[in-house]
Amino acid sequence: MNPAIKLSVLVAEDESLLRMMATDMFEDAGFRVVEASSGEAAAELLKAAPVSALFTDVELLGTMNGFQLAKISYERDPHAAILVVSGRQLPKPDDLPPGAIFLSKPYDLQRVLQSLQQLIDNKAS
Amino acid sequence: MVSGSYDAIGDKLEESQTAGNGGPLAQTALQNSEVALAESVEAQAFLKRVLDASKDCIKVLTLDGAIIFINNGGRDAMEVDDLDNIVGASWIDIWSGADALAAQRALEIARRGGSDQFVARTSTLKGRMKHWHVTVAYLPATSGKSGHVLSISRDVTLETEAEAQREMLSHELSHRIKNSLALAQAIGLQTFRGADPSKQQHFSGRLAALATAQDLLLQTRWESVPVSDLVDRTLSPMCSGDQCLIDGDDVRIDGRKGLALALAIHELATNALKYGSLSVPTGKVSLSWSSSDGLFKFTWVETGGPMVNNPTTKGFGTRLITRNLESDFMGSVELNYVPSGLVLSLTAPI
Repeated sequence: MNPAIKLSVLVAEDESLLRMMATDMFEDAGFRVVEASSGEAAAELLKAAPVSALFTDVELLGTMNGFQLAKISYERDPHAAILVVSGRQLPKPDDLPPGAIFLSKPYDLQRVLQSLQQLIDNKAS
Repeated sequence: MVSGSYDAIGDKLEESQTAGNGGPLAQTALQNSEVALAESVEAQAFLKRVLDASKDCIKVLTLDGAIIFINNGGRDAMEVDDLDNIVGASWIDIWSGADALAAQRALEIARRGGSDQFVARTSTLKGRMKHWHVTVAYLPATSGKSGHVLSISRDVTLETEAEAQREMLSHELSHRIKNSLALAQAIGLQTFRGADPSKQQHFSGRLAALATAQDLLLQTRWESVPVSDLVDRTLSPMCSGDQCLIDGDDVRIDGRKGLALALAIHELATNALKYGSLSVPTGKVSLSWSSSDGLFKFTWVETGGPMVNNPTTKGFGTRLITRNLESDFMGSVELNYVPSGLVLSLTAPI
């Protein structure tokens, strides 16, 4: 892949302050970021253009939650990395698509970036 | 007479009635039997009043589990209008799923002369779902007849619902605390945007450690937390492979100490990843704790890492692993930067 082309992350988060933080985190790490606050809007963005990674909260605006969004992302592109975060209890076994990583909120920024890098490296190899 | 065909209660009545015929001796016997009959009727009425006064659902079953008697309290609790709907029915059939298995087990135990308890749910005859605490016991036979099984169910719906409500509120509270911490993190990072990125990472890491510890504590209603859980949750994301050797007694500590220890472990691990034994693949951290003679001891020993030097400045990180631990544990902390690696030991009354 041409290193000049930035990897892209779709950030789905309903709380704007948290979305801002996540966007800054990924931009500072060199990613190109697209944002959505509802599951439906995020799914539209996924349909419009593929992304390297999805970073989503479980609770989103609209009727679609982060788990459903993660599954849509996996069905569209199983190579995209998926990170799901939540302040609620841990996901049940069937909530996450294969290969997705779950992290509790509030998250350690370094761990998010490390996990994402790990997922991207795994999918590339 | 009591409901159903519970003939054990009638046994004494039958005996006294058959005794009444002919002769002076028989006269006395008749008088005696009349007294016995009166006593028996009185005793029976008394027992019936006891059964009727109980709000529990008291049932008598055959050894095969067919319901042959239910008291008035039970009829009210189960909302039984017509006794035919319950007398003669199979007691096991009242329950479903795992509850039916528990009931089957209890009946089996009672049948063999024992007693058993279980908590289960089933709806009343009018379809209202209720939770029950059920005690099942063997009821010995009288005069050569076969025994019965006694089942006493207490309606614990209110208690069960209150517990479920408490559980739900606790989850909601946990979620809100974590969300507030996440917002505090976002505000903090935005406020210090452009500042030293390593400071920002420290800040968000500490908040995450705090949130993890609070989550664990909330699960135990802030009463106490097992040290092993705390260590596991705080350390596992930062330890790869077999670099961390963990060994400790089954000890629980209270909320305040739990938070202090979680923050200290997070700080030690962050430090070890950056400069200490976890910064090289061959390095190890050995964590151990014990509780004996009223003393809690916790040690963190790093080996196999780069040579360490005593840091010249005592920053917030150092205070988290020394003063904060000492204060919240009301104990003493020794922190040594020996050449083989950092060694921390905490000793505190428990």
